Amino acid sequence: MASRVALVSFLLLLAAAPAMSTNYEGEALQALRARLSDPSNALQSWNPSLVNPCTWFHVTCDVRNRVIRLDLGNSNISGPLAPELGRLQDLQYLELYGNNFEGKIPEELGNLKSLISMDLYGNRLEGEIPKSFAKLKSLRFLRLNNNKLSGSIPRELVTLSNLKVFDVSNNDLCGTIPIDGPFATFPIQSFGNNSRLNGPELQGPVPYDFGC
Amino acid sequence: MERVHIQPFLLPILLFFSLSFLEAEAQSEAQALLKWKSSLFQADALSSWSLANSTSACRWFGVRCNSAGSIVQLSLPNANLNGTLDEFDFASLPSLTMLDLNTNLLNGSIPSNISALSNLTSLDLSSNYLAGPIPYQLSNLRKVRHLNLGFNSLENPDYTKFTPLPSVTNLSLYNNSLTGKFPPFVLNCTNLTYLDLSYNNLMGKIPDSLSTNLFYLESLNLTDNFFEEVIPVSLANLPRLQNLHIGSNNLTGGIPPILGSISGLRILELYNNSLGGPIPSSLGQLRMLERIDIKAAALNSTIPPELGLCTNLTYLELSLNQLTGGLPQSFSVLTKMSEFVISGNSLSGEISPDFFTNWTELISFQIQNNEFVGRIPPEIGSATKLQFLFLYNNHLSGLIPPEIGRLADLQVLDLSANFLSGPIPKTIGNLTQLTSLALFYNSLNGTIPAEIGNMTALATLDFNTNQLEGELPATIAQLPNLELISVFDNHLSGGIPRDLGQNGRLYNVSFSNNSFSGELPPALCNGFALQHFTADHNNFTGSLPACLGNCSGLLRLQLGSNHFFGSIPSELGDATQLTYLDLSENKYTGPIPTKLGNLAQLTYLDLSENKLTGPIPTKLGNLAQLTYLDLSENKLTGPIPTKLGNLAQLTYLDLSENKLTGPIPTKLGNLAQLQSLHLNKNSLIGPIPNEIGNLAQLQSLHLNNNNLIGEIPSSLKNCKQLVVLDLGDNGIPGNILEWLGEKLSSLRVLCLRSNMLSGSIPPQLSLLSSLQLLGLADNNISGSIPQSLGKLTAMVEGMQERKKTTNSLYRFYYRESVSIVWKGREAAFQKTLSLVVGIDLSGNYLRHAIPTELTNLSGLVFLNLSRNLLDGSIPKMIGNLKKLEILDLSMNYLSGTIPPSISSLTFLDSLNLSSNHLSGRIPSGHQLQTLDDPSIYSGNGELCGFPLTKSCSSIQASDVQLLTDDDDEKYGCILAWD
Repeated sequence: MASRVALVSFLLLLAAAPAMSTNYEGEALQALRARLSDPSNALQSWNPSLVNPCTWFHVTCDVRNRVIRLDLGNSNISGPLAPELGRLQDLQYLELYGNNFEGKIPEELGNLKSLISMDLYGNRLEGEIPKSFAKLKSLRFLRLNNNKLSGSIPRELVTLSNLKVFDVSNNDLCGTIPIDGPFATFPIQSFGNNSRLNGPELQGPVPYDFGC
Repeated sequence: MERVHIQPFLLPILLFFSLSFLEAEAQSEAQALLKWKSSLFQADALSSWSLANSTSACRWFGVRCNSAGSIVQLSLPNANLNGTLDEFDFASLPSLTMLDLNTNLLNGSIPSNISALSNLTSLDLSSNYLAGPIPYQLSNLRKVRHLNLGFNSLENPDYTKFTPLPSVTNLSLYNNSLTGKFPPFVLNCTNLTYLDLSYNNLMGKIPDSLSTNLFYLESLNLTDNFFEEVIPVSLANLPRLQNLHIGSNNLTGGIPPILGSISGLRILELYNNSLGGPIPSSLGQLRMLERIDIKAAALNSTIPPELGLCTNLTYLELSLNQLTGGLPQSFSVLTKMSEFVISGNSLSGEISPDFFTNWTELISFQIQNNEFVGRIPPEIGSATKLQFLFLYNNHLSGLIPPEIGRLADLQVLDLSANFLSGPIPKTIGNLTQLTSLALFYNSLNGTIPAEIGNMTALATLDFNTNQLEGELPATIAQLPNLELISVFDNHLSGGIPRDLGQNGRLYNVSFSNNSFSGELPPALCNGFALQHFTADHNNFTGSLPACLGNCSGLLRLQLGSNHFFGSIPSELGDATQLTYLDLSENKYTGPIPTKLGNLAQLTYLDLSENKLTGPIPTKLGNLAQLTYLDLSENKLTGPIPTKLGNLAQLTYLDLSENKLTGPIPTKLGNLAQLQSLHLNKNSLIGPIPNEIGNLAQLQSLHLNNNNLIGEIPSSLKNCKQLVVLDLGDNGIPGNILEWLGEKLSSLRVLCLRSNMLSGSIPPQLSLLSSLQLLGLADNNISGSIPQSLGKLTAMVEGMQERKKTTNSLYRFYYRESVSIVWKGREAAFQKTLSLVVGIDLSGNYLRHAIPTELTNLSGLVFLNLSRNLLDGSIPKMIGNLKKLEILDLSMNYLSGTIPPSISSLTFLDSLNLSSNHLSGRIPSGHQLQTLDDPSIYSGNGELCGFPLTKSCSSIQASDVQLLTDDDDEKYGCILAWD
């Protein structure tokens, strides 16, 4: 009995965690910053002692002080993407293009359930496109071009019915290009310059990761 | 010890002399002693000196006679004798060979007739209060071998009459007032084996003749004089030298390597000289060496491995030099090492575990303030005699080895300011002799072990600035000797043990910056010894322990950012030594106790961010030492007491965000030291007093959000130090005066928004070369935007950085707060204010075109020109504003196309161009693609393209040409499919 009470209270604690911390989203952004190199001081205004990140430069909040935008395009930043970014539950615009972000795209970014636009193009990201992106039901713009991404395009992405712009050109992707859902409308240039990408998938028994 | 040998063949002759003759001599000796005794103020030790006791002095205390009954020794050390030697009839004691009066209270001078003691071989007058010159007649004591006059206040003898003492072997003149060069007579005392001239004021060079003349010298002590120039290499010619003490002089020129040839040397002290240079490896030849002390001698080499050959070393002290490199592994054979001190150098590398396994006699290991890396070797547990272990301020990492618990004799342990991680080992509880435990400024985590309660000797416990979590163990309250407990800046939580403080000894307690909760322990100040108590930034609740008011030594009470409630205890007014009182950010209600006006020593008073009500007590005007007064963000009512104008030391006064009424007292103009005045967000009325212009030190003036009327007083032009001027949200009429730009040349923030200002923007504002924030929104300002605003150099990218370094106001800036309309909402900028660069001219009657010069201001983070009557087109070079995050040009009469350069603003995240007459294709580009809310562009009938639904016709197709300038092409790639 006691252990069940303990378990329940533990779960309650987990559920309440975001609300308990005074600067939960700010801490997520600090976790990102902690691993980055920022020679141009784009993140200088990110003072961790403030009650929320809403007056930090390149951050925009809504009226409830929740982060809705992160705008760090062309900021001369390098380093890995922090999984903690996945905590920004209200984030709509994640604009990190034109930097030197490296390493894998954290699958936690699939938790950004309010995301409208994700621009990670023009970095040095590698590894696969996370399948978890299929959870980004509000996503309209997804630009991952000009990185070093490999693997196949996750088929789960065909369920992103709001996706209007998709660009994975200039990577090292393989397999075939999906044709279902929004993929029916994307121009072929969006997939260009991936030497192992084998053209639109054919209906039939050919696996989508053919050639991977 | 001198022995009196009576040669047997002399006995018959002695017997031949009549007894009466001998008796007469003995009586005169006794009389001489009694005469001296009677001259003393204090001679309790000499109670046996009485003819009634014995007519022969030979039985008296401290007296020894030869067989003939003559006094040969007088030995009265440490006998509390107080008086002079003036009545001592030395001539009556012709047989005296030894006179020892050391460690008494004798004063006056040494009488010159002491020379009558012609048989004296040993004279010890050390540790008295004798003064005046050493009598030259002393040099007549031709038989004296031991002469000790140390620790008096004796001055130079007349050297011209002071002949050498041919018999003297031991000469001690330490700790007197000898001046001038090396005493010349000493150089002719050629039988000297022991010479101590330390702690005098001798100067000049150490003479080379010392080495040639004093051939038998075994011990030379010249410590703490003013000897200068080099250490003479001739010292190496002293073949018998064992002890060389020449520390604390002005010697220079390095350590002569030839010192390594003094093969019998046991002690080498060269400390506190500006020697410079290396430690010569030749010192490794000193195989007899036991102690080496070259502390603070500006040495700048590595430690030579050859020192590891000095296997008799027990004491090595090389601290406070500029030594580099690592500790030689050869040191691991120095098995007699007892005290090892190399702190305060730039030594690096790892600590060899062999030191601890081999140095079984180690008592003190002090390597603090260096750059050592690596782990603390677990082998440290082998050095079981260790009493002092100082490893602080290095770059040590890894765990604290649990083996440290084996060091049962340890008294002081300081591992602070390293990169140590992991938990505090439970074994630390075994250190029952430890009085001081300092682990602060590391990365320790886990909980504080309950075993700490076993450390019964512990007086100081400092764990601040780690990542410790969990609760303070209840056992901590059982420590009987605990005086200081400091755990600030950790992740500790839970309540404080209820009995903490019951030992009545706590004087310094810091819980700041944790997550502690519950009430403070009622026993905390039981002994009333508390001096410093800081518990700010926690979740403490309840009220303060009642005993605080009885802590008469209380100096600092820092309890801000908690949940304390109830009224502020007026008993605090009884802790009259209090200098620092911070109760800010709590839930205190009720009035400010008038008794706080009794705290005459108070320099810092912060009661801000509570729910205090009632008026500001007039008695606060008595706090004459106050430099900082912050009562902001409460619910205080009534007028600002005029008596606050008496606080002559005040530099910071913040009464903002209350419900204060009435006018600003003119007496505030008396606060001559005031640098910061915050009266904003109250209900103050009337004009800004002219007297504010008397505040010549004022750097920050916030009067915004009141009901002030009347024009800005021209006296304000005297406040030439002003950096921040915020008069926004009042009812201030009149023109923006030209002198603002001409006189207040330090201004960085000028906010006059939401007033009734009229007229045009004076071009002179461009003279404000430090201005980074200009807020003139919501006034009745007309005319055009002056082109000269493009010359506001602090708004040019990179310029504000340069300003900050030349301007020493950064710390001061830390406390500033200015409200800005930021991304659609009002936001207060505080700690990052110095980074915010922007112009807000919205909501006025500004006409004509936006001057293209504004696009020179490449450091702008925001630009708001909305709600004016501006016409013309958006400046083509708007893309120069690379830092721009916020651009609002809405609700004007702007026409033409949106310049394509706007698409290079990659930080732009808040854009509003609505309600103008703009036309043509909306440019595309990296960042504009993400600004996909159509309302950004609404109310411009002729705009087309994304994100508007209206697509562009072929007429606008020509704009595609402009798109090719866009660096969007950088990643654009059109590939043939194959």
